[in-house]
Amino acid sequence: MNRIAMILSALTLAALAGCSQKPQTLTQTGAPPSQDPWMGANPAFTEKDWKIGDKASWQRAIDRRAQDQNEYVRMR
Amino acid sequence: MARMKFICDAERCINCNGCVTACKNENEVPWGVNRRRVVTMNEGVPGEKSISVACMHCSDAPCMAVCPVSCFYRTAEGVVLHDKDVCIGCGYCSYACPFGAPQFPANGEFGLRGKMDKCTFCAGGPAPNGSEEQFKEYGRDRLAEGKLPICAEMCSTKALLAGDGEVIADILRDRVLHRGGGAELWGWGTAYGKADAQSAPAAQPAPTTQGASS
Amino acid sequence: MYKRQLYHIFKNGWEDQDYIDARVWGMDKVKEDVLAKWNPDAVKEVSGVDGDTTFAIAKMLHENKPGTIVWCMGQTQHTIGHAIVRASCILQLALGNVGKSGGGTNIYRGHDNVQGATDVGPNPDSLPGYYGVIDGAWKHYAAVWGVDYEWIKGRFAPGMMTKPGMTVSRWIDGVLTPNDMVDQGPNLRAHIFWGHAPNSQTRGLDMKKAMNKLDLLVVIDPYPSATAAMAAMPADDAPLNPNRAVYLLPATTQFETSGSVTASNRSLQWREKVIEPMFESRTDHMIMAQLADRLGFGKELVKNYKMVPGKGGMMEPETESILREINRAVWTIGYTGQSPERLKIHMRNMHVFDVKTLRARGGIDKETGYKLDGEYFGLPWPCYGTPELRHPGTANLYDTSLNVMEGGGNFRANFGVERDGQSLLAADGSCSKGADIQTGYPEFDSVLLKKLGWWNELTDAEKKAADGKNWKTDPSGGIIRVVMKNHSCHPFGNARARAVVWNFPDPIPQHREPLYSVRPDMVVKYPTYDDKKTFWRLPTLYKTVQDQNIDIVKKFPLILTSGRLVEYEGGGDETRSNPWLAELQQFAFVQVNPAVANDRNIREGDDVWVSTPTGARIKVRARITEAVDRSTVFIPFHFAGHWQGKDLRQYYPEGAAPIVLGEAVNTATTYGYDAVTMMQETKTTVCQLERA
Repeated sequence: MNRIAMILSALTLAALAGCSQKPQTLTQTGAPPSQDPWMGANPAFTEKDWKIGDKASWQRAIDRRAQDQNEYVRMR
Repeated sequence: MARMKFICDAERCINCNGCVTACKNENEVPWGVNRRRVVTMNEGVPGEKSISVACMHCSDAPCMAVCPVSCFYRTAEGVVLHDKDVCIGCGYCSYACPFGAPQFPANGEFGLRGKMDKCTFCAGGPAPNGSEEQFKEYGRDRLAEGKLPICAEMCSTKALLAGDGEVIADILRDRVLHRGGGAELWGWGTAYGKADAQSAPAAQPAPTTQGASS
Repeated sequence: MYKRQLYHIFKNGWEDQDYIDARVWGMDKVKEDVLAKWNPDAVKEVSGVDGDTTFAIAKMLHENKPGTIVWCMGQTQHTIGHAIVRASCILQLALGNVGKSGGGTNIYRGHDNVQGATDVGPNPDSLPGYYGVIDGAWKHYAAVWGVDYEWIKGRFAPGMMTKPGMTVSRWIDGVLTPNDMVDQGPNLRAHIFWGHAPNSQTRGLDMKKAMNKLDLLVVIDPYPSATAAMAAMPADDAPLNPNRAVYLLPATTQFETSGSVTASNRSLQWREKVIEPMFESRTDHMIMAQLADRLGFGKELVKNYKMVPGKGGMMEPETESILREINRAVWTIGYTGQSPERLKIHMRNMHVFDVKTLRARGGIDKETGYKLDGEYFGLPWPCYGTPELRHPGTANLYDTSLNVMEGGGNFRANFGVERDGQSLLAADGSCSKGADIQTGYPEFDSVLLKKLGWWNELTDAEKKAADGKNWKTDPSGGIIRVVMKNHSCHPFGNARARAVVWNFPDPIPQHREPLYSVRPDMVVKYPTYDDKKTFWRLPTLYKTVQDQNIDIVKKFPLILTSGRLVEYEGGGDETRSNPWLAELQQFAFVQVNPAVANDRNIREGDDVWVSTPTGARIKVRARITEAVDRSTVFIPFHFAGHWQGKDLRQYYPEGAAPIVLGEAVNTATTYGYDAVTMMQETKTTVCQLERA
């Protein structure tokens, strides 16, 4: 009895796995398909002021760059 | 964690369309698709205002909520992107978006649709950072190069700001403090009444601190 | 407008009397004129602005000093353009705003390097640097160029060398005017459009006639420009010269070459080449050198230049050499200190310059060890003396609060030392900071230096070069060096600014109605100038045209003005070929007030015929907007490629037509020229609209 149940569940599992059905939720869950920006891009065009792969370093660099939009900082 | 946002300071936008042109050029956006637009209200009369609009990368994005194939996703920095390979061109996102961000190539009376295209905050899309494939489908990935969206970086008056929401909100607040906000602050009149106080810059008292700081 | 502000300023005693007493001549006469004529009623009649508003503006100017006035073409493109500009200067002088940081009268140039071009280039009445075309100027340049003065003289027809030429605004009349009325031997027979489009000049119908009459038409441009299509299109009313030859020579853009450029604020920058010349294009200086070769003076032209290989291995002048020659020539406006080396150092070290004052705060150039401290970015002219003098450039002209070696100055003594029994020199005590001479003084020459006992401060070599010369013609720069560095004085003297310009048609600016006016009553009250028999070599009409058109409002009741758009530049062929810009402005349009549109049954987006007194009719799209009032319509001038409703795309060279074509407003614009500068009156003519 146990064995049959086990075989049946194994078969069901196999059958369901073959469907590759997407989750029914409206919004995506799981890891986004994009690569994280702190992994860098083409070195020829990537700014040199942060460490590739280091998320905190990338964030600091981006925040500092955002201050270039602030003339009260640029004009000191 | 960074939460990427745009702010457009309508007091400074001069309708130069530099942001629009920069976006077009940087991402090689085809004719008919307008990721970014400048909207002008009250053209030619006192109180004329312009504002640059693209995708607002909403925290609770309506486009994402209505998409029947769930092609949208949000990155760790809050940038709302989508997968063009999954998109079926149904246009629901276009109806849902209050800012008109989703774009479809126009053709004929009823449009052609095709894959939806929109502002990506210059963060590319679901493909390796800076790859040829990513550029062809989604345009540039400036974030991965440690840069901010080209529209804001090109803005001639720094009306359009882009970056982490807290950082740019601080910049705007600094600016408002310097130039004197209060009753003339953007939208105040509409929200709290005395609408004419909001639309007439001549009504502003001569700011005494401005001479010292500027 | 300015006379109105002046009225309130004088009436309320808001003028800066100390400043006027020290540094201005003739303001009392202006005050008399203004108070007598420009009361608020007169003002409203001429400008349409009421007394309360003009008072409020005057008060604002008085209470917020210093203030500045900035303009582009709005003030200059009128028959009285020179007078309007003069009036803004007078207003600023009355307020004491000239020569102050944040003050002044400032012209915002319309295109990259227009300032540089004007300074060293194509003025028909002057050699580079505003030396004029008098004998002395030619002798100076002959020395600079190292060519024989007699040889240059021999290349001109008798009497032509020192006679100001024709302006670009009138080239068509140079071709079409009957020969006996033209103040030179033959008519114009050849015309070169060098980086210039035809549709930015008025009277397109006449221009087509002139284009067809030429023997030779050359277009030198990165794009074939509207000239190519306009020249090629057939026209029944413009007989075609069967011998006409048309050449299109592709020139490089600014990205395909290096060189110095001058901005609206007089700063110079050095630009590097970013891409090799594309297709068959050649740099402008290569084309110039090759053309000079063909015409027989190639050797003389490039005598002082290092020649380097350019496109296809062909030799061309090195751009640094060209700047160096300018450095040796243009003492007048101080284009002498900005050597290629100094400019490149500035470009390498932009970060050391304060973005508000444009002054370097310290900074040492890594490559050369050059110390930048105190220099203004781009060494804005005047940057006096040789590069060795290390003048920092001049951020604000005429600023007495600074020493001349810090970019300070005062008004120049250009108009003599006295007039009507009054001294034109500055008052005692009025001078630039630290000047050894604390009163007014004339401009410097070797004679004055000897009188002052400063002559021996020159080196022997400088003495040899400077003897018998003045500061503008002294090739050593020694006079400038001694006067400025040793004595903190200004080489061009220290005098008063003129509020009354005695050599202008109206010494005190007066209002005169445009040639085509919608107000016959105003024409009677404020008539235009008398006709000129010969003006810049051509008969130039004023009164005749205005009298003929006194009732023009009956047929053409709307004021037509034209101007720029952000998206396009100049004639527009280059920018309308850019897909990003073309998408933003896809149609030539006319801005129409809703009431004007409704009276004519015109709706948004309708095609509209705009007709003018020339007989031209152009077809543009209607844009209904409150941005123009009920009396005015606006059409941008950047479009070309349509001609009175006809599409000219087929007449462009294959594949070279811009993405967006449209009507050129200047196909329809009318006759009218400034009485001093010959600038076209594009800001005000008349038209009628009808739905197409």
